[in-house]
Amino acid sequence: MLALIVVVSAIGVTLFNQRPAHEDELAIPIGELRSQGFELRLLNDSAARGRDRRFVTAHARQLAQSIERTRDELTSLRPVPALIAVQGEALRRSVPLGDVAAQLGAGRAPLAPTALAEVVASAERLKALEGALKR
Amino acid sequence: MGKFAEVFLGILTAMGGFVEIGELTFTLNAGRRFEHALLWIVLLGTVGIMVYCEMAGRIAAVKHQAVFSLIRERDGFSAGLLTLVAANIVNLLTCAAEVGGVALLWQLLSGWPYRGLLLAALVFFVIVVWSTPFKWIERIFGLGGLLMIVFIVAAVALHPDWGSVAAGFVPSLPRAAGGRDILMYAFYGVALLSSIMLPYETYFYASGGIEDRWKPADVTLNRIVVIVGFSLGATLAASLVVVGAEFFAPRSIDPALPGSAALATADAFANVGLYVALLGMFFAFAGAAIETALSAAYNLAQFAGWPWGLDKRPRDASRFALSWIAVFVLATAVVVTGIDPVSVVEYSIVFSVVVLPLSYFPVLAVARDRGIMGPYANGALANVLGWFYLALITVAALAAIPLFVATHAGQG
Repeated sequence: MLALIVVVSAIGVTLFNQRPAHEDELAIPIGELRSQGFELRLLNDSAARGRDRRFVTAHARQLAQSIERTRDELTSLRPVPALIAVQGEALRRSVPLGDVAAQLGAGRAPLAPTALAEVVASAERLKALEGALKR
Repeated sequence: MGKFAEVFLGILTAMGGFVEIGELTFTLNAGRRFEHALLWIVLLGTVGIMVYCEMAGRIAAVKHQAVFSLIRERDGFSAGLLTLVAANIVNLLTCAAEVGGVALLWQLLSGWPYRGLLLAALVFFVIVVWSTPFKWIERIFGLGGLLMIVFIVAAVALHPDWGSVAAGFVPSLPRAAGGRDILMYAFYGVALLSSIMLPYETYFYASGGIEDRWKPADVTLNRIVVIVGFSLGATLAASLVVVGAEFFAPRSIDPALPGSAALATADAFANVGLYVALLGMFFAFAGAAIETALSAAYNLAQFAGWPWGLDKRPRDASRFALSWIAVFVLATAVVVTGIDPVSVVEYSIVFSVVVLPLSYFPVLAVARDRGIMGPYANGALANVLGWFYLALITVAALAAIPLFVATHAGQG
């Protein structure tokens, strides 16, 4: 009986994971990336205002790991055909987030204005994508 | 120590131990998503935890019986075993999240690798619990957790609209709510209620009363500590909702790491605010890690009838000592795999609410029984509140898992 429950559960989980992702499922990792992007801006502002350097670098490294995990989650989704372009754009837009988190994690704070502007633009675009998916 | 000092310390300890990593995450994000609209759940949950901790503490003072010996006595072996397994899975998950949270905080202060810090945290917890008397564990971590008051000060410094904050204590739906918003609101409501009424708090509180050798004369002390201490703790939880609404919502940030929470106090009070918040979170998470590990060991020992208590030498309560050490080891093993501690919290909070009715019914049944409690049995108010909260947490328990699935664990 227990074996049957395990087999049925395993089949259920596999089928659930293989079904195509719709708007609400795609919006979750995109929303996380949006949040991480805006948090990088806040962290950079904190660094510019003289907050503890060790905290800034360590928190940036934790954020970098979260960004990597979220990008992996977004990559692993198989969206319905109409949403493949959205997934691709979100992945492209999130590349600067990982780069900037790595820079802050390496102690290179505050960021150059161009790098900061790119992160903010990416976060704003991710926010727009998330909003469109949730409508 | 004088009675007044004992009551004062008890109140401060109850306040300092009120918030842990799950409550921190859910309260900040509840504010971020729904502004002040879920503040009434903080009030509702706080009265609920007061009602059941007061009953469990009173039973401990009068009958010297802790929650799991009541559960076994009242529910029988099979139902009791089911409750024990479920409660200890929740304790283990909560402990794992707290241990992970402590390692994340240490990483923010030291910059050292996370996995190494997890192992250091394991050693730290085993040494502290092995070598420190129960009363001192309560006081050190409870009083240290008071540093979290910096979030109350930060909430005030953010100049919220106090009219909107006051309106948040009246039950209402979020503005412009659609179907999905209502589901999310319901999920956050249930999760927030669960994070405030976490069952381990009652197990630990009652077992702590027995460890502290409460007598029937301590029933009033129990009542004052619960009512005043938890009210102050609720003020802290409410301030976290306000910080979520006033600081994180305008910046479109969903705080998901302990360091994210500290950015709010760093913004208000520079590096002093940062260090105080990090230290406060350390004491709060570490206190909760110890309480959950001890709760799991208390539950097991009380259910099985083993000798238990931190005042006993480990050789006299060896199975109890091995149990709490095993919980710390297993909890560290869960987070050392790389699982995000905050994700673990989401699961532990939701499954906690499922365990609540099973844990709280025997407490209510004994506390209201005049044959057992004599003159210390529940009065009319305690009975009405007890039944109301039992019905409420039963509805929440039934709704928790469907809401968890429907909202993708509250993510949308």
